[in-house]
Amino acid sequence: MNHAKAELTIDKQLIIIIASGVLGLLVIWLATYATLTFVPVILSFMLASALEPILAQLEAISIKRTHAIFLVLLVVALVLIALAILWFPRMQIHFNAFLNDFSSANITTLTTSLNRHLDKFTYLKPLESTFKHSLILMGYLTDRSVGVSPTSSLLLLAISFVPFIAFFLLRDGDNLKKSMIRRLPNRFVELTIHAIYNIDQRLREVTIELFFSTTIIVITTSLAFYLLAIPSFLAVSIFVGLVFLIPYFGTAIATILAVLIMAPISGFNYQLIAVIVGLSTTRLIYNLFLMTKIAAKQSPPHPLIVLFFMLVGMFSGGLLGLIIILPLFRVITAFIQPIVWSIRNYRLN
Amino acid sequence: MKASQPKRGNSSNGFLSVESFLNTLPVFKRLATDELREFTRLIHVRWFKKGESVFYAKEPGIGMYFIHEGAIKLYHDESLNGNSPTTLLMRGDFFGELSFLDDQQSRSYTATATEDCCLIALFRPELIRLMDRKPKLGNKIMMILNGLISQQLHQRDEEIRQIRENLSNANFIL
Repeated sequence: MNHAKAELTIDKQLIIIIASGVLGLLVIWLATYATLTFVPVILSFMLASALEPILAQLEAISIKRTHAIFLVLLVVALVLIALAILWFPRMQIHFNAFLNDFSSANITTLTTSLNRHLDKFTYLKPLESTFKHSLILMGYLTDRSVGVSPTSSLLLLAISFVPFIAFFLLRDGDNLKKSMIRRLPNRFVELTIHAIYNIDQRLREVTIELFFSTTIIVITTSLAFYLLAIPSFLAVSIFVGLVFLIPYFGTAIATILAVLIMAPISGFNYQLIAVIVGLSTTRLIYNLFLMTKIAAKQSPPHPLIVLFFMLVGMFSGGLLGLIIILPLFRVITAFIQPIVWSIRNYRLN
Repeated sequence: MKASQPKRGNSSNGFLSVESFLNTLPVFKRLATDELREFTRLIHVRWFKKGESVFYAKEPGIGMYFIHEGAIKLYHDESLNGNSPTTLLMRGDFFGELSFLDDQQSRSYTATATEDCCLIALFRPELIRLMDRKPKLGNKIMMILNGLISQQLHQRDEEIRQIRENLSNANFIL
């Protein structure tokens, strides 16, 4: 995309502003009121996009496309079923326990417990009020998470549509694109094909990055928290691990979160130090070795944008919103940016 | 951009199906029937009205076009109000191949239909997908397109040689 940028006329600016506004409103509406529709559709697009290179490899060795799609999605479905049977129930218990332990209703218990631990460390006593307020905020964020998350059975039902939607996207995607392009005016054909191609590339990169980084981080933190015998370690590792992936502020927030979760339960002991050292080391290893291998060729958003979305995520969806908002933002930009780029670079008249 | 002229088919109005049209182009004769059918699935047939632009100079480009019916005018500078040097392309010719092959290359000229046209468009992302899914056929098509461009380069070379000769005959020093 190194072409010289075409002049941005008032008409084009207006189109970009209106298009972004309409898309933004649509996304906010979908995210707020239609999570159960929105999530499976986005996930299906991401899955279809990530699986395309595997299908291409299978087709290259003369396996028919429909058979290849069936085969690959069968493997995906089996993995999901295995996770649903072996992992989800356990995770749900941990999740509920975590949300219950850290809800506003339990703040007094947590504060009392924390004060008991603080009594042993007189030099930390001045931080007592800070800890208390942080725990109140944490309780608020936990309550918000419970409020926005749809019941897990409904979410599971919605997610079970993903392999089917992905199947049809993969099987009929080319024909759908072609029939859509056939109906477009000549001037929009190249622009649209260019945008679709770039969206596909971006979405694949972002999906692969999110999948691998999330898996690696969650597995590492789960293992560490399990070894340190931290209660509800699966839920804690998901919250701490995913917060950890927030650009610029991730490590700091994850560390604060880990302290707030662990201090009232186990006090200020070797476990807490181990977690802080572990998180910093993981971040270092992740930045040095993993990020260069899996990061999408897309620079992270500006810190101000990250902060803004963190606020939106936190106050609309609590802890859950905080960990979901930035990946969601990246997926949406993967759709919007190529369209804006195409509109800016092609002459529309 | 001049490819060898295809022979007109025998259909009642002289308009050939896309597959038959491609078959008349010597370069595509190297493709077997099923390969040509697969290639036909990649392409888009577009109709342009007289005076309608296919693309503009300096735009990014990902498509190349074969003229199925009609004529296309290529010119570099719009500001010259029609006085810019033009190239007129007819049935069987193709254009837009440089941006098609090199994604860093923006369009170096504007292409406008001088009469109602039917163009066959091939876009780079779709060829790349074919190369991933059917590498043998994808590479074969790529080689054919390279052959077309190589023919053009030879033609240009020959034209430059001719101009040099004419200039030196007219006692100009280059």
